[in-house]
Parts: sequence; structure tokens; C-alpha cells
Amino acid sequence: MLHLLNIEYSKVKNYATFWVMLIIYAILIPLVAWGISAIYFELPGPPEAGGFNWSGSSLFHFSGVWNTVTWIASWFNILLGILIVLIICNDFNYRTFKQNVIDGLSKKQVIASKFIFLVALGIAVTLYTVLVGLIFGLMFSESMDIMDNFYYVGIYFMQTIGYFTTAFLLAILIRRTALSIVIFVVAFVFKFIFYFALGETVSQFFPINLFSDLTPFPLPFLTALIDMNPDPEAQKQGMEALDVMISQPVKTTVAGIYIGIFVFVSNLILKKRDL
Amino acid sequence: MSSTILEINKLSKKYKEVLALDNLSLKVEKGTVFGLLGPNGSGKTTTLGILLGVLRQTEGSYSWFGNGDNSANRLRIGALLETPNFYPYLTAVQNLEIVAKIKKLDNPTERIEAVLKVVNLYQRRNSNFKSYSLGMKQRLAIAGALLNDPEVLVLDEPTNGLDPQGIAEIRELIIKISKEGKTIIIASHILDEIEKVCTHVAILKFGDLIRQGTIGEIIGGENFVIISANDMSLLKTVIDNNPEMETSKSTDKEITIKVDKEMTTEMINKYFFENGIILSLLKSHSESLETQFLEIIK
Repeated sequence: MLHLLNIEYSKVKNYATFWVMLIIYAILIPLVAWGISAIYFELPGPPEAGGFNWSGSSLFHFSGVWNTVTWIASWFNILLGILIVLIICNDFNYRTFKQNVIDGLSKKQVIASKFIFLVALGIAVTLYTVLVGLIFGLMFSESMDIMDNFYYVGIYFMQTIGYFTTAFLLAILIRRTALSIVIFVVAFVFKFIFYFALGETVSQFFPINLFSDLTPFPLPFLTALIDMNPDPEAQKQGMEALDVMISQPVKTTVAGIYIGIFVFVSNLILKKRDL
Repeated sequence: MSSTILEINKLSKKYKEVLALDNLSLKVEKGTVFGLLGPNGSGKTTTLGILLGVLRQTEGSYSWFGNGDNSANRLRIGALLETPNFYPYLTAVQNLEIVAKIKKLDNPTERIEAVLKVVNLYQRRNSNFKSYSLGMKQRLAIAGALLNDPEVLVLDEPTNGLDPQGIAEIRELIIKISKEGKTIIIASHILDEIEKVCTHVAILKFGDLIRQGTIGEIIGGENFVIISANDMSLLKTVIDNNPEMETSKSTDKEITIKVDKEMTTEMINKYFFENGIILSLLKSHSESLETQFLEIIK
């Protein structure tokens, strides 16, 4: 397994695009987190009269921070999905999948090496996200309940793998870089189309919707935004919308099933098809 | 000691409508230089693609080293199939490092240096693959095939894109490697190439095996001569009158005839002289494999 990972790493070690995209990811997460932490909102007056104040830094207190940071990271996770599409399409375009087999890998190993690589990349970016969360948590919390709600990190890892396997499947189906990337991005647009056309109840079960909902919008942020809206009717609607969301364990299970299906189908296609 | 390196058993490959390879059976013995000949689209690359694990055969089987189609067999093979396939953003050395990892070499640095010197790319070893000319790319692909000092070398159109000097170098290299007792399988439509280096030949056409044997068996037995005279029509008549001569190729300027191996140019000259023709040209055909080939695939 390490042998295969080593081979994959040699392919990207000197690939500038790979590092540039990772660096963009690495910079954007703390940057956006820092931006959100700087939000301060105040409605003057006593609480009974609708007055309240809210600071974005409260989202980075421990327990909450994991939700916030993984939610922020999830936006840039799409970027990594594009990176996976790119890397896999490269191997088709350069015919290096073929060459790897000619040189002595089995087709199974070629497929496995890509999966191992995307899991390793998923682990690496998840660890980085943990690091960012830890730093922001330490900066803004008084409490030290670091492990509270830490499960968001696991969920984020799952989302990463969900996006990556989606990217993998698209790349091997389409094999052309530009088209695959466009379709991958369009899938995220369709996420909203499904949402508006079919409603949350149904649309949340579509793979892209489900994967991206794995890291939910931080609830305190959401309630704060609802509270900021002085229209009580809008507040009520906002709260009702939260009710139809399926629970996190159900989401995680269904996401796991989707990942399994995507891996299985990708594997099947590559096995059946000539390289 | 003669042992079988490769055995192909009733191999077929069908693409939707086209039968690219039909029931091919072959045996390649250790130490031979085996030429796979055929016009474009005859199934040479398809055959090698199947043997190298990148294409799935529709039917039939093959076995390397008596070991089936196990992918580990390919660690003992060096191969070049169709185009040179490398990462354009990596240098020659970095590209070969990946090959070395796949081949599980113990001494990658030494081997990479050695093969780059063999193909004359050592000076440019740290340039990106994308900056290479077609010939240099081809050389790198040959370096990649040689990297593991393979027991069997499989080369698909190895001199593609090379300049005359490069072609001569690669030919020398193939001969040198075969003298080390290694087995080489070459697919080509450049007959000159095959004739100069191969010991055995198989000829394919539209996926069918037309002929197979040693170079001697394929070219031998028949003799080709090119003749010409001022009166070409008379020349033709005289040829047609002789049952021992057969017109193989005829143009306005010269005629290639197939004669018995026993028949010398002296005898031919005499025959025409006695029939009132003074030949202005009489030479034995040097590219005999080409003539044979064109004859065979007709």
C-alpha cells in the first residue's frame, strides 16, 4: 500500500498545480475564519425590546469551533475535488495509467493507488483543518473542552472522501479535464436547483446535497442571522426550515452508502474498460 | 537451452464491429528477435496491448514465462507501446523514477543514469519531458523500457520519430541486446528494420496471422530480380513465355520478377539475350522481405 502511495506521490511531488491549489486551500480557511470571527452585530436596547449583540468570535469557542471550521473548510473542499479530477484526468490524458500497467502494475493496483492517494489527501487536509480549528479555538475560548463536538472532524473527513469519490467517478466517466471539472462544479449548482425544485425534504438525499450538508451551517450562526432579521414571520420560517433536516447519523450513514456505491461503480468501469 | 518466453493461444479482440485480432496463436522462444509485421491496422499494437495488460482480449489466452497473464510478469519485461507516455511537467529523471518505483528497482539512480546515457539523453536529463522533440521522447520511452534490464524487450515501432542516426543507433542497440541472450519482440511496418534485426517473423493482416517462421523461411526459397530493357513490351512477353519466371511488380521502367533460388543472374541474363533482349538493368532485389511482404499481404 505504501508502495502505491509512494508512486502516486512521485507524480504530484513536482506538479506545481497540485501545490498551488493546496496552498490556496490552506490560506483561504484561516482567512475566512478570521473574517467571520471579526463580525460584530449589535441591536441597541434591552433584550425585551429585541435588542441583542452577537460576535462572530463566539462561533470559535470550543465545541462550536469544530462545526464552524469544518463548515468553512467545506466550501474549499470543492477546490480539492477539482484537484482530484485534474490529477485523474492527467493520467488519462498523458496515457500514464496505461504506461503504469505496461510497466508492471496490475489494473487493480492502478485503481487502488488512486484511492489510497485520495484517502491520504483527505486525511492530510482534515488534519490541517483540525489544526486551524485548534488554533482559533485556543484564541477565542475560555473553556478547554477541546474534544466536545470533535465528531465534526470525522464528518468533514467523510465529506472530503465523498467529494473525492464523486470527482473520481466523474473523471473516469468523462476522462477530459475541462469537461469533468465543469460538470463537477455544475453538480454543486444543481444542488441548489434540486433544493429549490424539490424542497429540502427530498433534495437532501441527492449525493452532492448530502455530502455538502454533512458539515452543516453552524446553528448559532444561523440563529444569530435569523435573530438579526427583525421580521418575526421570517424568523418563524427560518426555524421551521431547520425541522425537515435529517439527523446527522442518518446523513453520515447515507453518505457512507453513496461513497461505497461510487467506489464500486468506478472500480467496475475501470475493470471492464480498456485503459 | 531453448525455452518458451511467450505463448499466445487463440487470442481474439473484437471492437464492436471490427475484429482487430482473430484467433492468433504464436510462440516466442528465448533468445529470439521476433518481428511482428503487418500494415497499419493489422492488429500488431492490439496484440501487444493485450500482452502488456492494457487491453482485454475478447477470447483466448497468453502466458509469459509459463506464468500466465500475471501482472508481476511485466516487472521482467521492458516495453514501449505506441506513443511515449510520460508526465510532461516532470523531467526525464523524475519520470524514470516513477518507472523505477513501479518496477521495484533496488538501484534506481544508477540504472536511470545508465539508460539515459545509452539513449543519449543524459545531457538533457533535467529538462521537462514537454520540452523534448518527438525523437527525444521516443528515446526516453526506450530508456524506460531498458530501465529494469529486462529479460524481454517489447518494442512497438521503436524507431518512430527518430532521425536516421537515431534509427541506426536503436538498431545497433537491439542487436547488442539480443546478443546478450535477451528476447526481443518488435512490431513494425518498416520492413527494412525487421529484416535487419529479426530472427523470426510473423505477418499479420486484418487481424489474421498470414505467415510465421524464421527470417530464412520467409524470405528464402525465392529470389527476386529487377530487370529493364529498351523494349518493355517485348520484355514482358518473354517473361510470360517462361514458366519459371513470374512477374511480381511491373512499372513502365522496370519489372520485378520472381525466379527460382537456383537461378543466378548470369542464367537470367543469358535467357533474355537468347530471346533477343539486351537487359539495360539486372540486379537482385535487396529488399526481399518487402517484396515478400507485399506478395503475402496481397
